[in-house]
This record gives sequence, C-alpha cells and structure tokens, in this order.
Amino acid sequence: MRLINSRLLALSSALLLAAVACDASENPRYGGTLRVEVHAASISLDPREWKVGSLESARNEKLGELVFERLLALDNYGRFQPVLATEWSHDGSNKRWRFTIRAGVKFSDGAPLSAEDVVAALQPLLPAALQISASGNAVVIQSAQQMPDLLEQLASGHYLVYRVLAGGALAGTGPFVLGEPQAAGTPSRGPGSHLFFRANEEAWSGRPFVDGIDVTLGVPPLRAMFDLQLGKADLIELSPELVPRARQANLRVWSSEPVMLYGLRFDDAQAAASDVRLREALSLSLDRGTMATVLLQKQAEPAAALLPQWLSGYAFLFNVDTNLERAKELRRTLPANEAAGAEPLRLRVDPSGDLAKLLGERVAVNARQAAILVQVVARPVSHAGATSPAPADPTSGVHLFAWHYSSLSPRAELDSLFAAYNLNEPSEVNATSTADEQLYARERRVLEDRRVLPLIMQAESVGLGANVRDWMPARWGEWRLADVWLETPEPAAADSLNPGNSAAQSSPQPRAAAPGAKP
Amino acid sequence: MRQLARRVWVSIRATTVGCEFRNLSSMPSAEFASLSTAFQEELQRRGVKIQTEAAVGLVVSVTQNTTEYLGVVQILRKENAETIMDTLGLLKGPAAPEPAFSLALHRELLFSQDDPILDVVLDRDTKHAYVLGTQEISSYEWRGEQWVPTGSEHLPTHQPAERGGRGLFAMGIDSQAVYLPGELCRISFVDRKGWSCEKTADHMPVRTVSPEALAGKKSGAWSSAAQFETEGKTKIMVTGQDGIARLYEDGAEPVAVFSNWGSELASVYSGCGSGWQLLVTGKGDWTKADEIQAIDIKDRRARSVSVSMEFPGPIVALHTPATRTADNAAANAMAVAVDRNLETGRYEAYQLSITCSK
Repeated sequence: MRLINSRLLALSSALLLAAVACDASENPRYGGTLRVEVHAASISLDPREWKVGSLESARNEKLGELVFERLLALDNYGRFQPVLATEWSHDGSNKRWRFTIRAGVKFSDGAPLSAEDVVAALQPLLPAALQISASGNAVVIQSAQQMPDLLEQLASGHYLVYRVLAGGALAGTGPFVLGEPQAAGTPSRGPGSHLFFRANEEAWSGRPFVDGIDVTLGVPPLRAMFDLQLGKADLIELSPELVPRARQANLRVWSSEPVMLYGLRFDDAQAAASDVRLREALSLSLDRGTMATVLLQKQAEPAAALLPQWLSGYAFLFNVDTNLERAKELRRTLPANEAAGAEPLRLRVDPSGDLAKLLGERVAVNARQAAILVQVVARPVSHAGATSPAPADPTSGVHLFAWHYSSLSPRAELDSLFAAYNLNEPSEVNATSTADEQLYARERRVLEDRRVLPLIMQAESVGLGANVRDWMPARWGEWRLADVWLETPEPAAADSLNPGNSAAQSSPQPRAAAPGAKP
Repeated sequence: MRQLARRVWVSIRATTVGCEFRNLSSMPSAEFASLSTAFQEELQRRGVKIQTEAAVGLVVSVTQNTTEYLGVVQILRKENAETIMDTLGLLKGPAAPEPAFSLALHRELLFSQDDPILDVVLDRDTKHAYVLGTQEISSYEWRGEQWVPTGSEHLPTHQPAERGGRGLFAMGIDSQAVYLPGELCRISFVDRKGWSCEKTADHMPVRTVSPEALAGKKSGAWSSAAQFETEGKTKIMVTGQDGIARLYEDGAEPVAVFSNWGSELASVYSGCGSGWQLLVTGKGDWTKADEIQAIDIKDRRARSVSVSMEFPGPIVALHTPATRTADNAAANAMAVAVDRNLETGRYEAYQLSITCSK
C-alpha cells in the first residue's frame, strides 16, 4: 500500500506540476487534430466482440469510448456521474434498477436515442442472469440476485450504447464519429493504417475541443517515442521499458494505476503441477521485486493479490515474500523426478511480446535456484494461409497469462478472472455476496490453493506532446479525449505548416465543463 | 466505525489489546483521527483496555476502493490471525476544496424509553417536554438535573400502530394535533372534549415546509423534507422512498439529485458557508448503527462540512424543533434526532446543535 500511496502522491505532484506548467486560467481552444499513435495493428470498435480481460479489448475500449457512451461514469473521486442516464434508482433488495434515459440525445446518424436502443445495445453485453427491458423513457435491469455493484459495472467495461445501422456498422452518441480524414487535413504518416475520428457537432455533451483525432495503428514503441519527440505525434502509448527513457528525454509521461496483471496458472495436464508442494515451492522461489524493478524498470509492482489495491481496497492484506530456503526444503520433499531433468515443468507463455517472454524466463531462473526445472515454451502460432498445420501445443503444467482489468466492480472482475482461468472456489464461500469481507475470503482461498500465482501488476503509460492541454484521464486508464484541447501556434503560421492543426473558425456549440454533472 | 469496533469486540474475547492505526486512503487526517477515536472509545466502553503491550494486537487500516472507504481490522493473536472489514461510507474526494470553515455537531441525550419515540417537542420554557409514541403522548419535566416522566395520554387511534411508523406532534396555543400514518388526532383546550382521531389520506406534514410548496414538486413517494435558504433562494430537499434525495428550487422538477444519504434530514442554520446546512443520516437499514453529518449546498452541489457524528443505532426520526419560529434564532441551529440503540433496544431522543468555527 505504501507503493500505491507513493504513486498517488507522485500522480498528484505530476498534476500539480502540469497545472503550474500551463497557464491554469487559460481557456480551452477549439480546433486542431490530435495525432495519436498506438502499437496495435488493428482495432475493433464493436463492443460485442471484445474479450474481457484481454489487452486488445482494453485498447479497443479506449478508442470505442470516443464514439460510444455508457449510461453513467465514475469520476476520479468515486462519484457516479450521469451520462446517457440522468437518474437511477433501485428497489430495497438491489435486484431491480431503473435508469431514466437522457432526452434529446441523438446517434451520429441523427436518430434519437430511446430506451429501446439502450436495451438492444446492452442486452448482448449483459450477463445472461440479468434481464433488461424498456419502460417508457427508462430501462429496467433486474436479476434474481442482488446487484449492489451494478453502477460500477455499467460505468466500465464494454457496457457502451450503440445502434446497429443497415449494413452492420455501429453508430454512437459520443463526442466523436468515426469517419474519413478531412480533405485538407491530415498529413501522411507512412505505412501505418489510420483511423480518423471527427468531432461530433451534435454531441449532447457539447462538441469536443479538437476537430478530430487521427489514430495511427501498428506503430512500434520506439518509433512512437521518436515521433513524439519530433512533434509528429501528440499522444502515444508508451511501453513500460521506454518510460524511464522518455522521462530522461523530458517528455511528458502519464501513468495509470496498475491495470494489468501478469500471473501463472497451473494446469493438471502435467502431473507435477497438481502437487501443491511444488506450487508452493515455485511461489516461494519467485523474486517478484526484481521482475518489477529490473525487468519492468519500476513501471510495475510486485503482485500478491489478484485484484489491485485501488480496485479492491484490501490487496494490502496479501503478501508473498521470496523464501528460497523454504522453497528448497519443499523441493526436497518432492519425488526426485518431479520437475527435474527428464521432465521439467513446462511453462507456456500465452501473451505475445518480449515482456511476457522475459517474465517467463525470469520465472525459470528463479525456479532453478530452488532446484525446480522449468522449461519455457512459446505458444504455437498458426499462420494465416499456411499450408501446413500449426505445430502441436506441447502439454504444459503452467502457463503465464496477462489480464487487463476492465470492470470497476471488484466482484465482477474477480468473477471474470475466475471464469477465464477456471479457478474453482470452495463451496462454502458465498459467491454471490459483494460484501468486501466475502470478496476477500474468495480471493484468499483461491490464492491459498496456489493454482494461480500473481507475479506483477503493471500500469499503462502515455507520452504526451507539450501542446496537449486538459489531459484529465481516469486513474484506471480511460483517456477522456473529449476534454483535451491543443495549444496551437499562431493560426497563420499553423495554417501554412499544418492545415490539420489550424484553429477552427466556426462557432461550435460549447462543450459543457462537466458533462452531466447537473442533471 | 463503531459498528466495526463492536464486531471486533465480539471476535477478540480479550480485555486488553494493542492498537495500531493506519490511513491507507485519501481520507482527510482530521476525519481519520475522529474515526480512530470512535473505534477506541467503542472498545473501551465495552471494558477493553488499550495498551502498548498486549497478547492480542489490532491493526486498524482505513483504505478505499473505487467508491468507498473501507475499515480493515487485522486481529493478530499468537496462535492465529483474523481479518474483519466493513465499509465506512462513500469517498468524499481528495481534490475537493476544503471549506474555509468547519462545523461541529453537538448532541445532548434528552431521554430514552422502551417504547418507540416518533417525535419530541421541547416547550419554550425548556422545562417541559412531550414525547409522541405510536399511540400516546408522554410528558417529561426537568427536575434536578434530569428529565422525569410525569404522565401519559392515550390517543384513541382507529388503526393499530404502524411498524416503523412516523409521527409529528404540533402544539398550538389552544389546541394540539398529532399526525400518524393515515390518522390525524386533535385536541382542543376550548371545548375540553379530549383527544379525537380520524382517518386521513393526507401526507404527514413537515415542520417549516409548507404543504403547498411540497405539493407542487414532482417527487414521488417521499420520506422526509427540509426547507432552507441559500444564495438568496428558498430551496427544498426531499428524500424519496427510492433512496434518492432531490433538490428543488422554484420549479416542479428537481434541479439536482443525491444518492448517498439516508432517508432522514433536517435543516439547521449556522451562519457559515451558505448559512443553512442540512443534517442528513447515513445509508443502511435499521440493523446498523447510523451517523449524522452536516451538508452545505452550494451551486446545487453537496459538500460535507462536518465530521460524521456516530450513533449507537439507526436514526429513526430527525426533526426540526417545534419551537423554530422567525423570532427564535436559537432553535434554527437545533434539531431533534431519535435513534434505537442496538445494544439496549431503547429509543433515545437527542437534541442536536451546530456551531461554526471559521
């Protein structure tokens, strides 16, 4: 928890410094194109396709939030703010919730938002146990189970409202509309494909400050950092290993709370992995501190829990210390051939990328110090169009996974994580309760079984150009680009250099300072 | 926090404990200190001594998730450890500007009784008090440093007392009235006929809020209301039975909604901040201890301006004093609260007052 507090302090200090650096009394300006570079080569803007917990889904969500909106939002102070719903209420048992839908909202194709639209959008996204129906200008969500955390769920993840147009495209009500780059606008930026989001002039919350957002896909991390340094990009995803370098280069860097968990999950496919003593020995051998500080250059925290402190509030109760002597002692109690030379414990690294591979190798090095042999095997990749079948997946006893938190409800997040990794809970735990004590008990029991071992929790970082103003993201990583504006050079000079970033001459509908704060 | 302390007390079964407090949240230090004190007081009230060296150690942490503060107590014994946690209310926002003033809530226990207390009226002479029960009015008199019961009058109601019912006692110069759920009882001292009751479908009135003003508001079924003035306007806050509090100005539609409060509220005047503040109860049912805090309304936004005052049980009634009139400024800074003590099961009436330090 001390680490988290330091992080909060650092973040507060960073915000303070940023506030001092730019003129706090300066009014936002309209106009310009925000140039964004991301590592992903492709993006899906259909919330129905997003896979909970995946890094890809988190990236999709960030861009999806430009176009689509949720019923409500959670601000950085823990307060729910109305978005597409203006009011909500629930019955005494928290089993039936009613949300009044904001009047006067239009989708980007001009169609008015109705309660039926909200039902059609959310129905495929909500868990099967939840029924949603329209009732006049409101939607009603009900379940046989209590849902005290429904607001947290609906304020996060894929619960975005969309309308399916003829032809299958989706329209949203958000501050931006996916479209073609302006004819006179965006300069070419090499081979990477682009997505262009133009300002939604009819957005109910007010037109965003920038005219558009040009997203370049598939930009390698180092290249993105150079583009930011050279002023070719305004906002880039920053890989953790590049954060210290970016700071050294005096670039503006923002980091979220830890939002990505790396961990190990044991499978019974290999006999050794089913031995709890081996799992405990491996856990005790792991040097999570070195993984966080050296491999991730302090851009991660050692993880003892499955949920981060900022989400659960109780993660500080868990701790795992490295204890090599105890690990060796446990190893000696195991059969000599278990996880030994003839048949090492095979560790399959599921996430792609160098970081996951390095983490896998570090696990193997730590394990070897406790006389446990771990062989790292890469996940077989089947190449599209290949004539020969993909190589067979060797049976592995443990695999390294990456999980991106997506829900602001700790219960929903734990449910998703348990379901994704088939972590069975002992029956005496009341799985339907959202009481923090029950949640803690559920997580503790699963961790005590050691079928899953948390390794590290990693924050997300963003590099920002000096001209980006009012960058006010959620601490869990939402970008909130509708409030961002660009400080541009004198219009005449800017026009001649970069037409895409010229200040808008039109008289746009002003953006509300705090959309939805006063229903 | 007191509830958390009570749960810890049940679990520790020890007479001496060591205590360590940690604030791992964004809670302001003054509030954290107040909670720590409340926790220790509650244990001490139950005979637990707090010492540096003890066989049982308590590590009390205040932490937070995305929306709420959590109290987490680790009970450390030689043989084992146990963890107890409970929510401590919604986050109040680390970046919210600190008010330039602070309000202190004070309470004075008036009397307690086994039967429900629906309303309390203190006479202007401050020596007589009347307690409205579900079917009777009890009289108290101030004698030698304490309130002494002096009598009781039965109300000839037509229907049985309502469980968890509400009530209001109104005193006039030559008449009195009692409003109970679905029933209105009256007495006239002119005709000397005694109490008579009749059924009514009217909503129970609220002191200082005119029925006409309330009737024009689109509020649905409501529990409690308070009228106050800020920014030169008269405003009404109504707590709905759906758990939402709604703020009304001139129009019939609410101008702001708040979902973090309980069902009881009353207005008090401190002269600080917006002048008038609201006293609001906490969320929770009648199985939980409650709290009251002062809220300042400015720009249609609510801001907590006092430390929460904890009570040993749920607040079942919170009223503006019957003596509040334009010529009685002292009564403006007061309210009457009734709780049901979870330990004793008795109903307790408190007089609340508010003071301001700038």
